Amino acid sequence: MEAIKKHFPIFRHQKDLIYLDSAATTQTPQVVIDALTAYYTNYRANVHRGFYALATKATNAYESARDSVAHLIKAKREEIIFTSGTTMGLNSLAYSLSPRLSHRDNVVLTRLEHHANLVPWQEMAKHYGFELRFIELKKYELDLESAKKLIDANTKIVSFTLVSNVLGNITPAEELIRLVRQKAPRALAIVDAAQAIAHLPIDVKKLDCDFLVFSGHKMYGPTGSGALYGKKMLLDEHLEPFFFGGEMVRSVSYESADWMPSPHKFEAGTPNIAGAIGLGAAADFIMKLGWKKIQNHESELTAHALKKLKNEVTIIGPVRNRIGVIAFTIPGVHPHDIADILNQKKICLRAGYHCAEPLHHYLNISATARASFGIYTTKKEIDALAKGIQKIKKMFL
Amino acid sequence: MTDAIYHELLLDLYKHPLNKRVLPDCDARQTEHNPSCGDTIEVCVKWDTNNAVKAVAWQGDGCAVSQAAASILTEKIKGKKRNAIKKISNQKMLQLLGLKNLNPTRLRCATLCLETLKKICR
Ligand SMILES: Cc1ncc(COP(=O)(O)O)c(C=O)c1O
Repeated sequence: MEAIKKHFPIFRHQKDLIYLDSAATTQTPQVVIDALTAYYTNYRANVHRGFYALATKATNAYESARDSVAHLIKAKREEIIFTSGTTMGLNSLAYSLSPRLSHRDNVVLTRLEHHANLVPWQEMAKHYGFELRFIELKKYELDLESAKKLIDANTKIVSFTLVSNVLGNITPAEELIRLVRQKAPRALAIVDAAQAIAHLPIDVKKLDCDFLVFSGHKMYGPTGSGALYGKKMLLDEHLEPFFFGGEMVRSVSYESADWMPSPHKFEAGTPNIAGAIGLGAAADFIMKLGWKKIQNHESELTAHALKKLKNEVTIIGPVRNRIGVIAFTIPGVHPHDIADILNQKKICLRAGYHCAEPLHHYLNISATARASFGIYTTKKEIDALAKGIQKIKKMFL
Repeated sequence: MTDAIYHELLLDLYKHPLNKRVLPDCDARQTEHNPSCGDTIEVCVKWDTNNAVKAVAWQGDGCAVSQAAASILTEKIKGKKRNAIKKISNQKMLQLLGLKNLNPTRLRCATLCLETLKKICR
């Protein structure tokens, strides 16, 4: 996989960089940088507006990026709405869906959720009075028995992560959604795929989710890009636009307006054109590498890391059914000290709550350190991490 | 390891803290939290008749910097008047810790105990 590193210019510019924070944001391959540069240098124009050739070229590139993103998750192109990322996707859904809910209803989340899939629902619950429920964990895994008890006829939304950004576990999404269909046939299932998108093949039809959101910057794409997938029928008939303005309207009078068909009715204003084009290039990059190669490499890395670290640190997360996001603690050493000392060896990893503070309290742990991998991560880098940890322990204990 | 922040004194204080205990029937008690890393410090002070520190103790947990700072600072202020404590600057705190050029996140760790104490002295 050293060969894959060559696709990422940062590793040429930052010699000896050991980047173990891909769960926060991934690095950018040259093909994505090239796609952004090509738009800015060769054919920049607004999309869906101009009649001249340059605008057509920009529009084609933007719409072809939609094809690439659709292809990545096996959706139809009209089911892909470009967003600025997962947070915007989840907020848009919360704002758009919550006004239909009342004090009799409930929204089911899980104990795992990132703040982005918790705080918007808390805020909406204040306005619309619905109840929030949380599926419990059992040995770090979602407990489907708890889900069975919590989801009932008054459940209107079930929103959950496909991979925890702290524990790294892959949730039983298909089973959970099947359960939702049985217990609450009219509820909508939302999947937060932020941590899954670069690491697992996703098939939205097989998952049978109603909506799925992710960020470009966690899948080797540009910051400020992302997508919201919605089932076509729901986008056409159920979900109201959340922003209003140019591009999303078909005709407008001083009194009122009507909307373009989806997905355009959800993309008001000039979008992040370069970002969408870069996101498309990132999706192509992943598809070209192929899931088999990505998953083989990353599962080997994860197994290697778990083996190397298991006797040095306390790993917070399951052993199986997980990806390369590994949270850990060293009793007697604060995670910030761990990250700070590793930083001096050019090892980047994150320490703190990782935007999942309630999960830490729920598990009765204070902050954690977290190492997370991408396709460019190597075993040698994990060995360097293990060595760094041994040094820290010598210093502190 | 050549390490500007984690020098021996600091690590030593982290492992063997000073004044880290419960202070029964204190006059003032204050807890501060640094949400970015989860450091927590509680400081308790007992004043004498001259408004000077008669006894001080702290509790909490967090990173080596915040914990060492609490030990050093509580040691430093014994017998000091309220007004003198109010005048201790962040710069002085770093000097006590033997640190310079901390990045802003780490600076908050270093000054958490000082902030807490200043609230008590208000
Ligand atoms: C599981 C999960 N959900 C949501 C988010 C929020 O993503 P973004 O900050 O890109 O909007 C993240 C990112 O940290 C995440 O890991």
